[in-house]
Amino acid sequence: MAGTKSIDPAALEMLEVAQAAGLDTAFDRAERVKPCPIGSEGACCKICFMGPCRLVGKVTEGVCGATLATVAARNFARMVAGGASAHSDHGRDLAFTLIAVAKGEGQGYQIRDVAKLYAVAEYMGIPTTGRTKEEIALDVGTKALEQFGQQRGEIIYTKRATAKRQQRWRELGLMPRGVDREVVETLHRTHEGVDLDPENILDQAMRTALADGWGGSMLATDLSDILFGTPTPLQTKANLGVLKDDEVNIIIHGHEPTLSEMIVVATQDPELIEYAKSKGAKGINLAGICCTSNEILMRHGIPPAGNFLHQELAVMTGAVEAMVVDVQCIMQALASLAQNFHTELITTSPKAKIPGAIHMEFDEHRALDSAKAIVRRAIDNYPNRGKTHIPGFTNDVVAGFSHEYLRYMQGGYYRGSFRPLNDAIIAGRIRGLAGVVGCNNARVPQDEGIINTIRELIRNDVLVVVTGCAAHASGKHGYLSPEMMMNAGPGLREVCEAIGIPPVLHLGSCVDNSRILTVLTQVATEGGVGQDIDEIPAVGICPEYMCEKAIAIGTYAVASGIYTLFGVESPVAASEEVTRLISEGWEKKVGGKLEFYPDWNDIVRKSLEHIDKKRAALGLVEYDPTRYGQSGDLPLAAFFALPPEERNLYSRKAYVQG
Amino acid sequence: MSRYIATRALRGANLIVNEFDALLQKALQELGPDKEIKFTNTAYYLPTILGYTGIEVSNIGGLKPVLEHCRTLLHGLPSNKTWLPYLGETLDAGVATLLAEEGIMGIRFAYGLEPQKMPGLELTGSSAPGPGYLNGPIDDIQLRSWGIQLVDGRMPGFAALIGCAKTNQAAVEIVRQLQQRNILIFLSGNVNGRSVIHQLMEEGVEMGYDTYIVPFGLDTISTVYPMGFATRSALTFGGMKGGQAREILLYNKYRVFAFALALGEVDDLKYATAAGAITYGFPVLADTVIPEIRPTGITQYEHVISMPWDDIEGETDAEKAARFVQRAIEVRGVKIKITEVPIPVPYGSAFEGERVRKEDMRIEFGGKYSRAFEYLRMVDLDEVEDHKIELIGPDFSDVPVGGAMDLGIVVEVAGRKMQEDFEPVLERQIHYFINGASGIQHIGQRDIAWIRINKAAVDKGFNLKHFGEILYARLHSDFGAIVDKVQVKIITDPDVHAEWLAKARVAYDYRNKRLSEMTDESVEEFYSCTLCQSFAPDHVCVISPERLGLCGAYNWLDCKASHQINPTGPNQPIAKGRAIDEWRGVFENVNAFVQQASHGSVQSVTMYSIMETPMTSCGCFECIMMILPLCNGFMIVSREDPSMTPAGMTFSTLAGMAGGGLQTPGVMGHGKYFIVSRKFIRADGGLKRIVWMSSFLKETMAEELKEAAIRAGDPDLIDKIADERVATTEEEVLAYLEQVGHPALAMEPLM
Amino acid sequence: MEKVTFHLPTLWADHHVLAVRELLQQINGVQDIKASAMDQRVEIQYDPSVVTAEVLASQLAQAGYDPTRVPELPTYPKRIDDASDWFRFQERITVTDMRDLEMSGDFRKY
Repeated sequence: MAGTKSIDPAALEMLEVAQAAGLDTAFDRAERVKPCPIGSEGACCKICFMGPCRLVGKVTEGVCGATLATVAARNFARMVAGGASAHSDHGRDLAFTLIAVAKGEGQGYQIRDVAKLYAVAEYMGIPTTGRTKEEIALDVGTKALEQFGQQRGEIIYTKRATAKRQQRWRELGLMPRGVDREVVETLHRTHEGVDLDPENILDQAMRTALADGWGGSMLATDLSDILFGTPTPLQTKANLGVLKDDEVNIIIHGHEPTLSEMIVVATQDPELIEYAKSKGAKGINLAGICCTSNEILMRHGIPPAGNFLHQELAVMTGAVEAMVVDVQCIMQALASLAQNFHTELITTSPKAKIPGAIHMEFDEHRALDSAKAIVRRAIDNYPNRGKTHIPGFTNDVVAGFSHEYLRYMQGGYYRGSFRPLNDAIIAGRIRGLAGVVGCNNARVPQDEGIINTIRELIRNDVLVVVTGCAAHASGKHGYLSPEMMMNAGPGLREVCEAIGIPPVLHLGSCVDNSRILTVLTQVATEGGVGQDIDEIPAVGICPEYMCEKAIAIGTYAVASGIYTLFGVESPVAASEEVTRLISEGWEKKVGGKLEFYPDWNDIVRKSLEHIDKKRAALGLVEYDPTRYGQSGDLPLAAFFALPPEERNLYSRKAYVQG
Repeated sequence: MSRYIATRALRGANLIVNEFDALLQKALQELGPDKEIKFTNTAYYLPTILGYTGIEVSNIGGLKPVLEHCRTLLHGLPSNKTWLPYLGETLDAGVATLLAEEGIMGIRFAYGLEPQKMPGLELTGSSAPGPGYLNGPIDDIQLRSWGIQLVDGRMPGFAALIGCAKTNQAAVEIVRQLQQRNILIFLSGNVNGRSVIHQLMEEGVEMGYDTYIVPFGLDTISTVYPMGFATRSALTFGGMKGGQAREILLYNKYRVFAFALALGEVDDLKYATAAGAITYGFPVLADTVIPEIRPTGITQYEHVISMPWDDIEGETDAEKAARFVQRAIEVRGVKIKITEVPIPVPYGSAFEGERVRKEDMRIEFGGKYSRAFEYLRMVDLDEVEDHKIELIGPDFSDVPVGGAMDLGIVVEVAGRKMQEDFEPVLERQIHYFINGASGIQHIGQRDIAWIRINKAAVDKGFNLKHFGEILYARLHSDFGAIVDKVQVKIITDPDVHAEWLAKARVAYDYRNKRLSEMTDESVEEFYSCTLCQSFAPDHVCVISPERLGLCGAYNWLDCKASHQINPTGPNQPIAKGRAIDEWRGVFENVNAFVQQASHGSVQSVTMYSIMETPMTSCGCFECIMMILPLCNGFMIVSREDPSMTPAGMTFSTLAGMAGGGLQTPGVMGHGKYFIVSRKFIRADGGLKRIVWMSSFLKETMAEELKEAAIRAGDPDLIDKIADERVATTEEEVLAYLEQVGHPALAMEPLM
Repeated sequence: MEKVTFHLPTLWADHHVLAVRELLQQINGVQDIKASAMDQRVEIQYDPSVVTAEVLASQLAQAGYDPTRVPELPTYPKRIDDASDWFRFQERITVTDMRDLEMSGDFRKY
């Protein structure tokens, strides 16, 4: 039954199309390929070749004697290392790009946000006075690069955390030294016969994750902002309906903004637009999938066609001339699926090739040329288009909330701060904060966990921020439009109306989870809701996690003090000890804990309980949904509906109840 | 913001900046870029612009960068569907509105169109050019003279009333409610051509500085004057500099308790101006139906509140006004204690400045035709019956209207912590206490007191015993810590009057003697005064018997009493300790105290010198003294003197150098009676060093100065001191000194 | 006695109200004026034997209060545009401004 596969009407429509055409999708494969019951719970050890050992039933240790806890912990740590590598390698490439731009070798790129460059230079202790932006950028790029290869000391951005948190990390030996060093050390320590103490392994997992969150990811975010601009809110639409029947559709899919930024430029090139028209198209339409989509959505308003599980569905519309991919979350199935359509799957990264796809290697030194060649190829493909089927579903989206803009929107240029947000939490208008992040997972109905969680949270006056595929899901279902405040609780609605925001804020791609860390740190230092992140009434939620990156994010969130809840199933369910270590164990150490609840109802319940617990601990007023909600335009709708001469200015009673 | 408000405010902001642009282009054409722009007697250029941007606008051409800055602050309107966030944008646009409004006012000044004309209006105390004019911007002199009251909380803040109240009665009642709480009242704006200014005028409410009511102008653009006042209070008392926008705004949010009351319909410009006011942390209350903004953050409590007048509970406008003002005060978060004084007329400091004209007068006591005195003494606890108010002699019902009669007010207080030294401190308060009643005027003190009661007050039932009620209520509420029991005798019987007057005179003489004997050497403790730290965080006054506070309001005895009343308050005893330099007035413990209380910014204070580590100033000084190197002496300019001084600066400009808790050798703020103290800049040569002095001081302190000159050994000294009538440049001063043979020229060089 | 109402988009603030009233009061036959900047409307009661609605309208229009004249608002570059103020003007602050806490007096608490 299609209903169990997704709650997105566009997806359901396309799945029917797929069924009719006899095409295979991840939704179908998830039914055919059952997850390995031993591996999925973390009980399989294939680290050496005496195994793989399956620690199930009466088998409680492997050939070497490794316990179930050690095995599960090692598996977990390696997931973190994998995820951290993905984010950090992404950050590293941006540092290279910045250096190339600083040297004048980055064709088409520029230092777009000089203000941010100065801000980052200040964090890094790089002098700015009397220097050109190129000189500063070169130093910033070089310093950023050093963070990856640094062997000793502390990753420079960790000093952006509260003093209390930094102290805690130092005391616990969790302070990351260098990104690469932590990843390598994790891989070493989880090699056969090295670190065999589950708790010690998991501590290293946290340190590696911190190197990601406060290192690779945060650098990736900041360097992207310098090169491509710090996002500010903009309006667009989301879902497969953004594809156009009469234009050349190009979908960019993957994670890095470097290529996609140039493709955005190329699609606006008048010459190429003319060229497209010469092929019978009305223009060139760009859309995105996954986090590369988030990057260009946040900065240019390029509409997202969907999240992870939409990648195959987009191809099946038959309206996509080219799907351009870089790295991460790209299904191999795309290559064979594209064979059924005119769609060309173009890989661009030397790190990521797919058999059956066209490879057009992207070189940041000739970025614009590469991008134009790709767009031209897509245009050339337009005449080959066959029958199309574009589902007519879209929703309005407001996206682009960088942490800098969050500060600005709460007071403008002269009075910007986080005081209004803190005040709202203290007063109980906003019950707490939640970050809903992460992937789609074909094993659970697409978007169901994400959307239900978000719906319930905002109804309970919890302000939600989203990133990654969860952000796409929110957008597709209308949660990123400011009108959605009508479905929020009364207090949250009031705040949304005061500022003009949706109750769910789009903070960016998955590396932009680092923005959440920055925001929470500011909330803590602003005062009134705790001195450190773990005291703030806030939770992190990843309802439909799918990849190692999600585990890395979850782990650095916990190590930064956030109670983090995952959906689907626990990858360490087999070991009670590890399950305990990453929840209660970590809570004692760093204040946050990691828990897994397959049912979104549990996630919502636990989240609200946690938020209320933290509110009580801070001595804040008990949350009361009936206390607020009287202000704003909304109560006066009847008044404004009247012609001016019929309004009685001096009495509100006639128009408003109560 | 709500989206409705944001839309209107953004539209208003865009349009007013366009108007500013058009007016500026016109003025550039007609008047030229070099045409001077100057607000009434201020050193802060166009203050709001100065505060936000640091731009010092002194001519029309100087407004061009301001316009450019306005443009960068503006934004488009939010769309009707899928709108983008608007709060930050609207607040920025609000700032642009204020800058544009002030620019427009500047240009109007250049055209001679400000202050606006208002036929028939007469203000008691104002910066207006004369009768028939509205006030226009408040000048620096007035700002500073209100300074101490703003600082010590007697004047909690200001309310800007914009527009027109629903009825005249409502307008009067709102104003009365504010006056009773000593809140300054600023008026501007109109609805359908009628302003709250018209309403108060029609109802015969006295307006002007003296009654705390300042009518600025008939349009909303004039609302920028209160914002300029707010900005200047941060610059003057907070020691901030132009361009330190965030500090200035936060200072206002946390220390200046101001709010806006939008009366009547609210148009685009009113919304836009309100957005600007919100950046200062000032909330807005409307008496009509408008969208509310209750989430907090930019302001301390709610941002915008709507209290439609007809919905307010209460039968009469008076009851509604009380609720309306009460809510405003709650929203601003001001804690105001009002003393209930059971008399039939309104009561509050705002009525202190009210005058009773001869033709309105029912009766007077003292003055030319009769004698009034007041005497407060301490007696034993068992000799006082608390709240006993006696009238000894006839009341004034037999005295013809406009007549006079003798009066004596004898207050007897008792309390375990009461001291004889506090008698004059409390007695001096009688002036303020009695003056607080509406319709009563009190001038002078001791046996030169002069009290008038107007007809309206008598019609409302005011009688002589009510003086007793006032004194009883206020002494208990203000001095409850030292006063346990109060009884009052109101004396009109001629014999009893004569008897008590004689007793009082003995006491006055005794006190004079005691005061003149009281020297810095005769006491062990000085007192600190950090009252102004709420405004100037690093400033500390050290008050000794021979050096009173620079505001003139606190002498050593006042501080001593104040310390008794509130032992943890701003007046703390400082045991002098070892003298490091007795002659110059440097004391070990004083230095230690000042270091700590100034948060390390002042290391040492020399009590009797201006040239070495002089005492710092907050901003409420009565006088500023400054070195005139050419003349080998100092000049003293008083707050009341708006003219140019030989230092090349007016009082207002000098004040910028002297205030804010900064220690600048050669420049010092001080109280005017310090001039006649024996310790007056003793280390630098004393009174003989004074080469120039505002004539105002010479005239108001003639007696005291003469005495001091004799003490200094040069009875003609005062006449040898130049003033603004003979010299306004240093060269002219020097010429005068040489002509009259001023002793300073023969003294050892200052530098 | 007749009544006429004009919708005047350029009557958007109370200094325009003063101007419009002054203008109308000088016209013979005008008996009562209700000008509202909030609704951008003016309602005039006049004596039709002395003055006509057309005259009133033309007098208003001459003074810049023309019912057909809608004040123009400038257009702004979108935020994503490099020319927008966001890129020219705004700072990128990612830490709490400690002045906020110091000024609030709450500083000691935290």
